[in-house]
Amino acid sequence: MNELIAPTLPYDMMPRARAAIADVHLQQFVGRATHLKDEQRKSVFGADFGHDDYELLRSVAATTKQQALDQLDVLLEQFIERAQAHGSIVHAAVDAAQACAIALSIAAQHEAKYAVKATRCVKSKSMLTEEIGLVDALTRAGIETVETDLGEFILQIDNDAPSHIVTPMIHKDRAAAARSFVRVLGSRYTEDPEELTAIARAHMRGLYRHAHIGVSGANFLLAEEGTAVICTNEGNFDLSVGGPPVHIMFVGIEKLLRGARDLAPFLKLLARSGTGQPLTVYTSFVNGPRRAGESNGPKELHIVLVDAGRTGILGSSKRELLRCIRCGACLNACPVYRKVGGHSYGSVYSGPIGAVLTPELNRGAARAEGLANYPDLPRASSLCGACLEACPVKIDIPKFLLHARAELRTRTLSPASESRALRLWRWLAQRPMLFRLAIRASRLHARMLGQNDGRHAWISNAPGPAAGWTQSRDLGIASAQPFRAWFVQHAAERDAPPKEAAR
Amino acid sequence: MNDATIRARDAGVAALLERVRRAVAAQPASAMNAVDLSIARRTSASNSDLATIFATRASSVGMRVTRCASDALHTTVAAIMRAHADTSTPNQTLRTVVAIRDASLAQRMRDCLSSCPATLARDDDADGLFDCDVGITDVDCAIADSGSLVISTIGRMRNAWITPPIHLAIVFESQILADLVDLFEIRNECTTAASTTIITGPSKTADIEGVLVTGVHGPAYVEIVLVADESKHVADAHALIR
Repeated sequence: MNELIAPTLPYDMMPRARAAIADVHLQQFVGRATHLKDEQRKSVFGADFGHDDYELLRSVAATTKQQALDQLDVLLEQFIERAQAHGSIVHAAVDAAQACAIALSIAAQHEAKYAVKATRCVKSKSMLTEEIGLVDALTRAGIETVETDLGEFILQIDNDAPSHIVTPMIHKDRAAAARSFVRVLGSRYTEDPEELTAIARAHMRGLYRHAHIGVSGANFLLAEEGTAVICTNEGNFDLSVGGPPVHIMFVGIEKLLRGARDLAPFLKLLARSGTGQPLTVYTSFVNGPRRAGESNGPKELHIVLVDAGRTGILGSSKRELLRCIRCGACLNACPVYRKVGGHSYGSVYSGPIGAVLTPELNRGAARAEGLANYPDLPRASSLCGACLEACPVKIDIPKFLLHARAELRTRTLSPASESRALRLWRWLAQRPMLFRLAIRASRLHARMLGQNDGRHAWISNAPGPAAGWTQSRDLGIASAQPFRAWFVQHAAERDAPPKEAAR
Repeated sequence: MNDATIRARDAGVAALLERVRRAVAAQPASAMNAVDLSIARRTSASNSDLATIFATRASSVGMRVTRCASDALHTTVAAIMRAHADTSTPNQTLRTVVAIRDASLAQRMRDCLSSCPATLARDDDADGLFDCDVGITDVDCAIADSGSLVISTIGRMRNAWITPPIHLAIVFESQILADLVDLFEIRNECTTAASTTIITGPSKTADIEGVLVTGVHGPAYVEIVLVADESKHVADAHALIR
């Protein structure tokens, strides 16, 4: 698997974050694109629902999904039964390795059934298949697997990895796409997105036509109907599922909804939160393989239900995390994601949701590995709350980031310097006189180090641990007047009778 | 597939269900109240001019809507076909697949094609679908609120609406539902047909530097012919059924 999304553990976030901040192109692309998407989301919801109804809609979706998780055992059983009644073959996988093994065993039976060895596979975009490393597993088994989502395709031929849940190549420019098309597809050099798309379209047509296996994920599973729901904008799911004789769908168990009657709010929220569209261009419903008399569509439809750490979260106090519908809104809203980009998170899931989900999905059997392997992720946040505000299912990401930080402390996974600093702080905070003295001293020290233009005071080159901050920006200096003095002065003013009568 | 494989598969599913059962029981259910899903509705079913809302919204997501009277369907479709044939190579004929559930409408369209620069493709040739220029379909229903088409595989060749670069959809005004919420309140093709797709625009991507490009894998052009119903009575009858 690509080192970018499956790094050596324990994962140290800092080198990649530093590189991303120093990368001018990345700063421009990611900053501009995320800002635009975030604005679009707000304006579309404002125009379509109004602030109050948007809030209500999010609450409805949050409650609906939480209630589905609270009865996931019942819903899952119901889904399996109905999906089998449609003629689907349902599998279950405990972890990534087992999920990949199921795909390989399906592929191994291909020759016996269709008189041809399975060597070509078309894949529709899916986060879960990235998570389990499916493309690598298939490729190693001699099955050439092509990502059909345009962004994912460009990343695949460039040996790069997705850095955003919805817009995977947000970190790359058109020139990079142009170069890889020349190199891999032998097309003439063009940077025009329209021409590049046409080249990719022509290339994929042949693949859809001749592929042996199609692979996809699903956005929702409807328990009452046994239906899988898949959202795309490009239409690559419909083409991936329509051509090849065998289709394998990988779905995380958290995708269950009670039924079609609960679906409408989610489809409306997903598209608007992700890209500002009223609905994704294609919302596809699948109920088993092709029926008697139908001339196309898969002859076999496999649904692989994947656990891979999800039951662990379901049985913990963090069940709420499984409400996530992978819309990417929290990434677009996050000031940290905007600066460090998706690859800094060292996981398929980046941004605020990735920072909480990645350690939880990777806790392992002893429930201890996740944070030990990703100790930086809970700190990759300013706790500003923008992610919670953007989340269509109201996952309280800041709360879980704080919980994770607390766990880092109690398990002494935090750096020793942090513990020492906090101990010193606690000791000082309990001694008011000393505390005030220390604040005064630090103020004086800062003013000696800093510069002053009469209106503002700042430090350009701070010493010690503050040096990291001043590498890319100035550090402000506390004002000459301490807050305590300011408060006393203003309290006196407030209590004094007004000079003019209020109008 | 041999018995051992099937047994292993079923054991895996049973084990997953058991793990989920234990996990669900490990935490108390959240104390959340029942919810009113109707908050998701944006367009009211009592709206008197759903056809206009549908036409406006469908246009705003990038589909082209041409409205016509029932007796002008033939000439409208022919005009659209000619316009596309002209913008392609001169004197080109458009290879067209007709995937229409309503048998009499299907026949009307096939007749119509004889007066168009078009050749008729078989509607049961999965591979040949990739060589078609146009797919003509009717719809199961349409949604005014989002300007969407709902098309199932019942009585229609799958993917006839997504494989060719041009999709021409015939929608009757009486088929328009107000909101997505209505679609799921009635028992419908989405959860019964082998496959159903809700289409809201031409195939799109903005993967390369956020630049919007249409016609990635699906059609770049979605032409909707919105047909006025012959009589108010038909519309009322449809409304009653719904």
